[in-house]
Amino acid sequence: MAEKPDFNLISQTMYVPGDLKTIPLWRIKYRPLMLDSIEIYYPKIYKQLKGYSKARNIPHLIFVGPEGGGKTLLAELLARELLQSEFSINYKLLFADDPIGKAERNESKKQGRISTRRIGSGAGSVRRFRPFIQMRVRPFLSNRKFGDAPFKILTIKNFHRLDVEQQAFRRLMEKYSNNCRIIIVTNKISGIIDPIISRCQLIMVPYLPSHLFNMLIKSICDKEKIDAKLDTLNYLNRITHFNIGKALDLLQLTNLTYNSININNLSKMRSKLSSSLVKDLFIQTSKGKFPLIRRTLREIFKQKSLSKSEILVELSRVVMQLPLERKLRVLYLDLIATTDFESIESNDDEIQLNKLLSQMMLVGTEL
Amino acid sequence: MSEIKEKNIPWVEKYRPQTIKDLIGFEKISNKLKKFIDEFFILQTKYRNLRKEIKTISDPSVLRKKKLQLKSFQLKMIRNKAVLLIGPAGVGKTTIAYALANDYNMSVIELNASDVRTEDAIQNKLHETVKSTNLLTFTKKKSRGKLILIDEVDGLHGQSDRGGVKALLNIISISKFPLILTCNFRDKKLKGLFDLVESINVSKALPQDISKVLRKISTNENLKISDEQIKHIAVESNGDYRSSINDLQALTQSSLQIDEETLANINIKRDTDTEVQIFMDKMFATHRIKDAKKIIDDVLGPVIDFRTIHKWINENLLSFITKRYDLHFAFDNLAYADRILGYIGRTQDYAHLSYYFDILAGVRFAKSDDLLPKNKLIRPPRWFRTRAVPDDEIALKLQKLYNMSLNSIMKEIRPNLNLFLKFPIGLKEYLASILQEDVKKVPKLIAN
Repeated sequence: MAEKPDFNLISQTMYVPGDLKTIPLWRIKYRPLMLDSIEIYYPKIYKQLKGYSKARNIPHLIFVGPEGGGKTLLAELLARELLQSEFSINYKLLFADDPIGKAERNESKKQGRISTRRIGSGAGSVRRFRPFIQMRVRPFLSNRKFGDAPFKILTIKNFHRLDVEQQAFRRLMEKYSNNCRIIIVTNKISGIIDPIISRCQLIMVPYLPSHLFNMLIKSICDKEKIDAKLDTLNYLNRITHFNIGKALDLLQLTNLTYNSININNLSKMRSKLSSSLVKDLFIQTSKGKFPLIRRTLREIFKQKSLSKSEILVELSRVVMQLPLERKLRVLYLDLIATTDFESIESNDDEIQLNKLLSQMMLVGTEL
Repeated sequence: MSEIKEKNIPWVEKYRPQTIKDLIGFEKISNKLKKFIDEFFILQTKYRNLRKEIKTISDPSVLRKKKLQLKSFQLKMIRNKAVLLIGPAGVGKTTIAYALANDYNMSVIELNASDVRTEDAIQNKLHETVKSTNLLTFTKKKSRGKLILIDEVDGLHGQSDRGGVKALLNIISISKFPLILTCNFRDKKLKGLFDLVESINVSKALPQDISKVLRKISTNENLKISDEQIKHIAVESNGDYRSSINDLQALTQSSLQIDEETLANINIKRDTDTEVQIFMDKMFATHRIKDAKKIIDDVLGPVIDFRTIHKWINENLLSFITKRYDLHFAFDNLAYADRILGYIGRTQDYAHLSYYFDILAGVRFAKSDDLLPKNKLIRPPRWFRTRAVPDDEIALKLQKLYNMSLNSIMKEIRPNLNLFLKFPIGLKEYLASILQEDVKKVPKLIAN
């Protein structure tokens, strides 16, 4: 047990460069590194995970829960507990929604095999696997574990964003289960196909209850020597939707700019952080110049690479934030919702958004 | 008798180049094709030698090795047996195949879209020809067998030519002769073919090259045409040899001269921008919905099909409609038409396509005034790739710090980091050590 801190230090330096305690961002500075330190906040899950670590064995796991609830952290802590000193070599975190670059795609094309069939459509053709599986997942799964760790652990975040690749995991999970365990992290269980759910153990990670959330924030505030009252903390968890990372970022930024934390300062900071281009778009609709509106819309498409549905969500957020008349707000929301529903079957996103914006322009300039 | 016959031959056939030397503007492609044919013959001789060698061997272990070698060689051969020419209509894909065969002294066996091309038909027609050697090979000393040309592969239709692609692949695998396939564009249903066969793109012809060809023909036929007129025809043909020659023949049918009026009046293809310009002008000048529908119907062609016409309208609508109310109605119609198109694409229910045109014609009647813009430039529709690949290393390095996906780092983390960097908390130095960059450069890198 005496060697344990040393192991942790090594794995820290391999995983996050530099000593964690000196990082000036609270979000990273206060990220726990031991499973024991989260016992207070997740008592039930802690018991289960501790059981796994005692048995030195886990099934494939699925962590389900809302954004920013600490699912990835739990997976990482469990892996640290199980793999000990070999953590940094035997653990890998993958993101299912990360785009695949050109170089990687070409590399995966080279690795295809020529089919040995002589007749039919497959004759002599090159069989290729999906680049995500071929380049990112398969090499890690098929290479042997390192040292005396019981197995490797692969964590895949946002698993529901995979489409056809999910089918490949049915086979991979069975074939390499001796060598590697897979932990799936998702916030949308309905996006995962049934055969994969049946192969895994499901663990729910709900929102932290508000008293625990407040306790967590309070402890960090104490360490940083900041005064924070209870109603301020309540306000904080309400506006960040219990997303711990976001809350810490907001807290630190408010502390840096205003030197004190209260509801007023938090709300000021929050309005600064919210995206401005979509807000501009909304404000321009009340001025009644469509060429200007279209230019802004294209700017959003280009710079921020937001999709149609994301823009609609942002717009509805802006409508809720701005001080509007109650009837007008309902009217705007109605328009946005109608467009979102109707455009399920649409062909061209921009035309649908143009329609919505022209409607909003009419409403904004009339009233 | 023969003279009359010759007069009736279309010039496209009459002046079809017989050898590769006669071709104008095909150097790269003809070199590629020559290389393909040469390689094919080299591989074939190697293959034959290997087979002869096997017949002499008696030692079983060596024989097994050699047989395995033969098999792998066969697989390699399959990939080098056929070549696929992809290009728009009339640029000379078929011509180059015939010219090539002429140069190599091969006889061409052609199968084109006029034949029925079901699985059985292809098997029946080609199975024997592909395997057996030509009679002429025994009589003519220099003949090198056959060249099999399968024209317009993308014309293989789902219902009437069922199993066509499968049969083609089968034919390629057993063929003893080189094959040349042609098609107009990369079609999804030919995916099996693209995987197997090397493809060569044939681009549109340049107007200079076309005018050279036209000049050659006009001197042969004793036509009295000026250089400008030839250039006019060459440009208007939009890179299509065949249609330019056909135009020339049609224009000089009655006399040996072309007068300017007929040249201007004859309805040759125009480029798409001016076509759309005229279309929009015409559409907003009509007063009856029937006329508007007819104008939309007329503009549809190979370049502007019904799937893109509403995008053209969307792009250029603002220069025609300026009033707020009109704009609202126009976009409402356009969005509705777009939804119908999406529905058709999903369900393949083309019975609804007429409603699409009706609603699209309604866009014109959203306009309440009669003002038309003067000399507005027409712009083609623009495409935006949502979810572009964030191809920078900074985001990848930040990803290790935050354990978040690239997308959320671009959206959430980076703007926050920009705010953090304003305060002297040692963040700049820390990020510089992670990113291995100069401290002064850090704010710029994060902002990008």
